[in-house]
Parts: sequence; C-alpha cells; structure tokens
Amino acid sequence: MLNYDQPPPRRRLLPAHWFYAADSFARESEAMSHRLPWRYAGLAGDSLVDGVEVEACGGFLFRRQRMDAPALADWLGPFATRLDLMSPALSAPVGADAVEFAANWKILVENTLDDFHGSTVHPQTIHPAVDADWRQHLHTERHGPHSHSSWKLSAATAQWWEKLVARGGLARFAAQDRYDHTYIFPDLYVASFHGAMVIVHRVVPLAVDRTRLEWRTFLPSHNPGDRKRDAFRRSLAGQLALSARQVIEEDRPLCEMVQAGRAGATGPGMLGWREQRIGDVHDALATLLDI
Amino acid sequence: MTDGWALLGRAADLAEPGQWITGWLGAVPVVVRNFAGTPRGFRNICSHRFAQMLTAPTGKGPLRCPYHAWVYDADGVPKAIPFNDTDFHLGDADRQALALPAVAVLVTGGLVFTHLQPDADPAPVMGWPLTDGPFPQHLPDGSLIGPDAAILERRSSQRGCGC
Repeated sequence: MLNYDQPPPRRRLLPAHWFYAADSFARESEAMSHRLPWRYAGLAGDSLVDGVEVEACGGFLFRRQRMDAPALADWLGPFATRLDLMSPALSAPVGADAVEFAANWKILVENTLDDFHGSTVHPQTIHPAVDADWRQHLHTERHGPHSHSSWKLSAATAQWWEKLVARGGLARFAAQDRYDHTYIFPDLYVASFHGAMVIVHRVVPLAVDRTRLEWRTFLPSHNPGDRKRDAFRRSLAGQLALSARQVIEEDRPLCEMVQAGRAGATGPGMLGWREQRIGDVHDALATLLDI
Repeated sequence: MTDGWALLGRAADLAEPGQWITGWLGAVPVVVRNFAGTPRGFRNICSHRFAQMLTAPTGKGPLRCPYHAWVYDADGVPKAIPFNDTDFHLGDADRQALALPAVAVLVTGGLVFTHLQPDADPAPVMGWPLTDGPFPQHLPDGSLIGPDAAILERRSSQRGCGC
C-alpha cells in the first residue's frame, strides 16, 4: 500500500557532479562531518575513537557532531523504537562481510531505498521471498531523511523461518512474518527477517566513485551452549551469509551502471510515488550542502 | 580532427531489426539500435534513475533498462514502464519529456559512426578514407580499421574522461 492518496510532489534530485566530481565529494564529506547533527558510530561493544561523544539507542551508537544537535530520540523519530526493538539480537553475531562498489555512496543508498527492483535485479532471491502481492502488503514510514519499509514474507518463506526458529532454538525479537528495512540517514540500514535474523549495514564512502558496503549478521538463540542447536545455527548462519552476499552482488553491477550513466545524463530523473524515500535523502543532502 | 564523430561499430552488427551496438563518446555511454530497419542512436542512460542500460558491445533485443525494466521506442520515449498505473502515473506528455537524448548516427563504408550532437554535420566522416587502403589505417578518432570494414581497434569501446 502507498502511504498517501494524493500525488506526492515531484522531487528534485541532486545535480550529477555530486556523484562524480572529487571536489564535490570533499565538500560533501566536510558537511557530513560538521553539519550533520548525529551519525552512526557502531554497535555496543565496538572500540570507538577516544573522546568521541556517543549516545546509544539500544545497541546502536551515534556520534554527536554538533553542539546544537537535537536529542538523539528526536533525530531518530519513530525509528528509535525500532532500533531498540532489534537490539537484543545484537548479542549474537554470526558473521561479517563487505563488498566494494565502483559507485558513489548515494547510489547505494538510493538502491537500498528502492522498493521495486526485486523482480528485475533479485528474481531468484529477494523477489520470491516476499509475498507475491508485495505492493499491497508493503508498509512504508518516513521521518525526515530516515525511513522504514516492511514487507510481508511469502507463505513459503515464513514457514521456512518457522522451522528454522524451532530447530535452531532461535530467539525472535518480535513475532513478525515480515522483512523489515530501517534506514537511518546517511549511512546505516538494518534489515531483519521474521523478527529473528538482523543484518546491520554500513555504507562507507571511500572516494566519489568508490564505496564499501559492510554488513554484520546476528542470529540469536534461546539456548546458547546447546551443542546440537549451536551446530545447526552455525550451519544456518553460513548459508544465510552466502545468500546475503549474493543479494549484494546482484545489486553491485546495477549501482555501478548508475555510476557509469550518472555523469552523462542530461535529464532531471524521475522518482515515482514509491520512491519518495530517495527524494527525502536528496532533500536532506541539499539542505546540508546549502544548495 | 574528429569534430566529435567516433567509430561505434560495424554496420553488419546492425543488420537485423533489434540489433544494437554500444560504446562511449567520452564519458557518455551511447547506443545505436536498428528500429524496424532504421538505425537510431541515443544516450544509453535510463531517464528514470540514470542507469547505463545496455553494457555488451553488441546484441539484439529491446532497448530496456535492467534496473526497473523501462523500455524505450524508436523516438527514445519510454513506452513500457512497469507499475506506471500505480506508481508513476506518466501520461504521453510526461513520457515525451523523458525521451532519451538522441545522438547522430551515420552508416557509411560498412561502419557506424556517432556524434553527441544529433544534428552534427556528417561531412567530416564522409571525408575519412574508409574503403581505400593502405590498411590498417588509423581514423581521426584514434580507431584502427582494416580492409572490409574490419575494426582492429575501437576508441569508443572504452569510457573516456569526458574532458
């Protein structure tokens, strides 16, 4: 379902140079470091740089970058509750991975906020995992540049997860038959499946046309120490890690094709009704960059 | 002097309707496709979210973006937009406004040339010695051709700096 009955406004996307010009990247990096009020800093237990003022939202740490920053809860809005809800899962890390993209970081963000490339880019992975009538069941919530989308899993995928929960003694942070995606501007997004598995992604800009996507997977159980269930959970974690990487590897060439096309595009681009989350990010960046 | 013209490929690779050739004019990806017998060239960049659409050097099939499956017609206008009725609501005028920018196409001497300006004067290319030897021969755009329109080196196969 769409969250509005009236056409959303046409959004203005950032000019192309913010995607390929080195001096624009430097200016943007400066703004991100000094003008953005809060920025994701890591997870509880991570070693952070001394002297950095961080505040926690559940197990998620955020660095205060401005003295006049709003309260973290106000910055995160309704998604503070969501991050808090998922935080118990963060005690059970089962894997970490990273992939470098030959693309600007904003293209990765646009891609992860894009709700409808499943059938074209992920026809064998994400697309069959969600309900066939996904457009009817998709819920999206927005708060400034942050947003959340929630998908109903297909019946087969939900049943598969039910079996895994039972066999592996998995601990669910919420009883949900959904795939949830929470994005916190500019560089954090958290995916969760069936209220059981949590994947924390971080988008790390390396250069104007190079970005590393890092992700960490969490799969908590009720009975850590149970050898049989632990072995099953390890095996499952390995399988899920391969799936997660496959999805990212499906996204990577598309992001790189956008990077290849971005500099040569002459038109304004077009965001559909379901792409307003992307417009939110562009608006936030335009404000941050004073353009 | 190339006056902006560049060798894109062999006319034989555009012989059948639906066949296409891709390449780069500086930093701009371009595509020339046979639309029902007529070669038409465009910037190879989707008007939706700017993805480069076709990446193989040659091929056959619709001019379709792999990201969200927008399909473009002979005028560069998106004729198929998945979920248009519910998510885009683009009428004819909106679609026309999203037409791909055209590029000039010239087929001569068994070779296909392109230029970013759709109304570029083809005279410079007409003066290039495409069919007379000696071969191999360097074209003004830096490409290298042999006899019978054989392309030994194609400058437009690589992305340029655009400077």
